[in-house]
Amino acid sequence: MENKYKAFLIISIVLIVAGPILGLTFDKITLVDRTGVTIPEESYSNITQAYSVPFHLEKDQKLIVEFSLNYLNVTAYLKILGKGAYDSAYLAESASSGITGEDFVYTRFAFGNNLVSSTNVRSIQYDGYWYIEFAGDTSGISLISIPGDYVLIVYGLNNGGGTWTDVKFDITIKTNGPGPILELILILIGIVALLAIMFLLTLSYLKKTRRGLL
Amino acid sequence: MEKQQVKASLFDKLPLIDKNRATKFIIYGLLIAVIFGIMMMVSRSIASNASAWYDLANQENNIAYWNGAYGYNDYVHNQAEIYRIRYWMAFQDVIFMNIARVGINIGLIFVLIGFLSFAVNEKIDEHTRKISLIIAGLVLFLMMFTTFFSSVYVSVS
Repeated sequence: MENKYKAFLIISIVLIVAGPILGLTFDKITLVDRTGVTIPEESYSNITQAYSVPFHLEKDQKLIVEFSLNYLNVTAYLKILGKGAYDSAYLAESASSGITGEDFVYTRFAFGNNLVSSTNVRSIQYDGYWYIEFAGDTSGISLISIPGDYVLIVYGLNNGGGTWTDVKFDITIKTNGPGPILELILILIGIVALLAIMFLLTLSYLKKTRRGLL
Repeated sequence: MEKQQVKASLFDKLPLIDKNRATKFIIYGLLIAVIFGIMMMVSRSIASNASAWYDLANQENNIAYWNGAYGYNDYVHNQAEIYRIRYWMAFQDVIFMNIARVGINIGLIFVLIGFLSFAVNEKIDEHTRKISLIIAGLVLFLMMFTTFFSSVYVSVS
């Protein structure tokens, strides 16, 4: 077999193998992965003090948030607002607790159970974990995709009294990556290249041996 | 008077193909029939095992969701995808079985021509020619029978 065919053969096999691996690697893109984020408890009454992450969603794209808290006396709240609503509340320095957020679904994983609900604000008191999915709106526990700009905010309270004013929490924010499309493209290119090599090798063999098909 | 030259068509040449070429026809024909036959078997097997695959994929999806590998939305999305693949696994049989039927018949035409060529070749002994003619007849019978009576099949258990 000629070297160029060997090289193409190896490349096509590499593409077919690499497709699922890269697909899985780029399945989700991490926007934020932080532990021990600290904000003041004034964030409850003033949105400018709240922790905020602006993001953009395309059609059928969704945001995945893992929101957890393991700190003493802390109650943290998570909301997702439209960019317009956030900007207007920010300029007015409105209370974070008074703004109505967009609906999202939240869950905790339990074997054999389906613990999913929908809400527009999710709180964690002292200790806890929530897995949140957001695409713009919900219908029951199904997501409705509404593309646009949004801002995720977290605010909270510390009921420790006195100098206990810090609100600490952990947060991971991910969004859909190009993984599945990348996987499909790489596998397709690999298979087409493999078929082309097989076809060319057969042709070159028949040419070399001066044999026709019939 | 000028002589008119008549060009022989492919059909005129067919019974005159030599022994080597006739053998090639039979080998290629069998090869084509076997390849399409395998395709037919694989397609039928995929279709008949679609529901077993569906149960397995569904359970894998449940376990991955309960383990927290992905959220409810992805779980529902995967469920819909599993349904779609299951229906395709059943329906692909219609497409590939028809392609395979055409392919097998093309292969058998090659085999038929090969054996007919043996049968009309005067350089081959009488006994072989008779057997070739019988085989060609059987191949033709098989082709006609499977074309007009698609529900007839042989089952081996």
